[in-house]
Amino acid sequence: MTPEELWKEAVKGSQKAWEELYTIFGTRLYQFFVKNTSNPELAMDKSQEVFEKVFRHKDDFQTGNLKTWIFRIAKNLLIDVWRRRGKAEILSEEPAPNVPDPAVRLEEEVIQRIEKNEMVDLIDDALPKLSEDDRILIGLTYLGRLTFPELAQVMEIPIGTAKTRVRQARLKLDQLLMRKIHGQAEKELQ
Amino acid sequence: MNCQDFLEKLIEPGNLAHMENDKDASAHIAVCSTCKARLAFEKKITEGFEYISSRQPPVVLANRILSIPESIPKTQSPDPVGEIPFWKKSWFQLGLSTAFAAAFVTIIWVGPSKFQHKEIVTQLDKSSIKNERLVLLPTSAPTPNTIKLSSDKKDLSHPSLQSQPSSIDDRPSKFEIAQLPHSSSETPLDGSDISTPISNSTVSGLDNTSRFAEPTESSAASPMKAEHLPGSVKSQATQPERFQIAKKSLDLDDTSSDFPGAVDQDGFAPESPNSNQTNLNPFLPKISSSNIPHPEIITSPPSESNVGGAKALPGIEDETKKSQKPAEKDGPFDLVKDNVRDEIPTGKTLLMKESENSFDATKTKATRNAEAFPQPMNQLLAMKSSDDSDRLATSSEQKEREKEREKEKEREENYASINFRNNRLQEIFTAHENEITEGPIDLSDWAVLGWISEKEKITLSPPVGSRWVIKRMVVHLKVVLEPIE
Repeated sequence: MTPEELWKEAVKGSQKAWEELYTIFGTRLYQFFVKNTSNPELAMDKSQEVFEKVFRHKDDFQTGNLKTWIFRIAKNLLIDVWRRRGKAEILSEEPAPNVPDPAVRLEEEVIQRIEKNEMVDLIDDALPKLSEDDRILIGLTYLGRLTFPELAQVMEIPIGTAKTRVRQARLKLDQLLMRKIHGQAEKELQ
Repeated sequence: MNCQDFLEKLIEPGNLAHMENDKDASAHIAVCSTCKARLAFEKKITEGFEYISSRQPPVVLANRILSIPESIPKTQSPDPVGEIPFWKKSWFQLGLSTAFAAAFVTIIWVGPSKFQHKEIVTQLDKSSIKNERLVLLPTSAPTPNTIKLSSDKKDLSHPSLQSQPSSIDDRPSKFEIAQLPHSSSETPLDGSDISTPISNSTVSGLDNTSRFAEPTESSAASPMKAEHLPGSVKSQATQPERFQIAKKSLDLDDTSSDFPGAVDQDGFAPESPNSNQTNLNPFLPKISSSNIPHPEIITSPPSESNVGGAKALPGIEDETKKSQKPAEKDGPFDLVKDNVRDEIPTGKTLLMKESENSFDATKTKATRNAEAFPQPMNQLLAMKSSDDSDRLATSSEQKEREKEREKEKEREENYASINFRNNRLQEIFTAHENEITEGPIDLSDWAVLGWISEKEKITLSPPVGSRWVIKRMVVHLKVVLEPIE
């Protein structure tokens, strides 16, 4: 069943369909909020708030993409959190680069040696160093698993702009990851 | 497929799984080790993100979310999520903007004239307030053609009104702006409360007043009823022709008048012992014998141009005409700015004042004003013409202006240089890197986005037959000039 079909069932009163929806979106939403706020408690509250809003306004969603609707609510809640907290957030002492560093080159052997857990740790370290704008895009794309058209709809920007912004955000993330990977590789060699 | 195409495909979410099955991509990977490494890196990152997004949240959250359908009642919230509020909808904004435009047009075409008239009437209404002695005059004096007093309003310039005070003590002081006698409904001008007999001083005050504000044709032709006028005025009201003669006799040049008690042989009103206090018109300077150092000026024989008629002295005639026609000036008539207090629009008093200041008929009015006023006002008056402003500018200001001009020239020369334009575009591109993609630059778009000004849009435009393009040079994106094919 698609999320939209599940939604129809849940609106009719199916608890099972509601649980299915939580399984699909609950974890993603929670991780999206955790990575963007670095606060598990807040992430839980906000995830719950998203589901509450979705359920309260169930009649407002008739057709369309349920995923887009849910993540748009999530994005707006996140922006509200940032607004209340104040935009001036210093994420790291060393800002992420804007352009690729030609000195940092990818080597397949080095990459292949990276374990999944290592990569997860690297991502966990690198994500908070990105700016809020970049983080929200990475979060929606890779944690929310939105496609570019969906991302454009959620962020209310043109698809081309969405692509460009994701590319730029990825560029910064990749630089941070590659530096770490190279640093680790050099340590191993020594 | 080149590296750029490969990377663009790779970065799109959901494409990774299809990349290995893509023939073009596979062919490119076979020959490009960098892209192969990139693909491996992308796989690792995607795995990492998938793992993160599959990390289960605390069980508490699951319980809270799963209990939502039971905890939330079935009543609907009035504020729908995701719906556009009515004030953001296009029809509302269109209606609102139309209403504003209509209101604006109405104000432009109808408003000013109505409001202006209303303001004047309001100010005049104040004169009828009970016991209100001080009347606020409009800052810009009404011209005779534009202001018509309604019939129920007292004509403030009428000599009978201004000469009403019954005693010297009641008369306005010089420093009051415009203090009128009781002209409210409580104290009508019935002459019953005026017991002062006709005296020279009263006549003198009357004369001064008449000099300042000459009665209009209508007021002269139909003076107020005699029973409503005080004694001194009553005699004049009953004899309008004589009144006219008396008034004329006080003018500068008419020395042949034979009005008996009002003027002397030189055409001046005789000085009273309390002449300093009897000046009823506050806009007039005090007239005393000390103020007339050269009375012979008035009695001097007429020049050739004056022979045969009662004309103003040369140099004063123009000034008198100007002051009598404030509407012909550059701007609106201003009580303070145009120095009504100091400049009397008749020849005699003007002559007296100017004689104090060693009057020089060759000086223009602007020059004399500039000399008479304190420094800030002097500057304001002098700034009326650009020549004057240049004269007032200090040497340091002139130097600064020259520097600015030089800088402007330098800037223009810089913009003429291709390298300068290229550097400037590169700067703008770097500042908005996130929002610009590779390809030709549309300066109009940049101007619309506010990254460059309209002027810069013109100055930064590429030479004929070429265009600005953002191109990837190895790694970095750069702005380059490219010939149009």
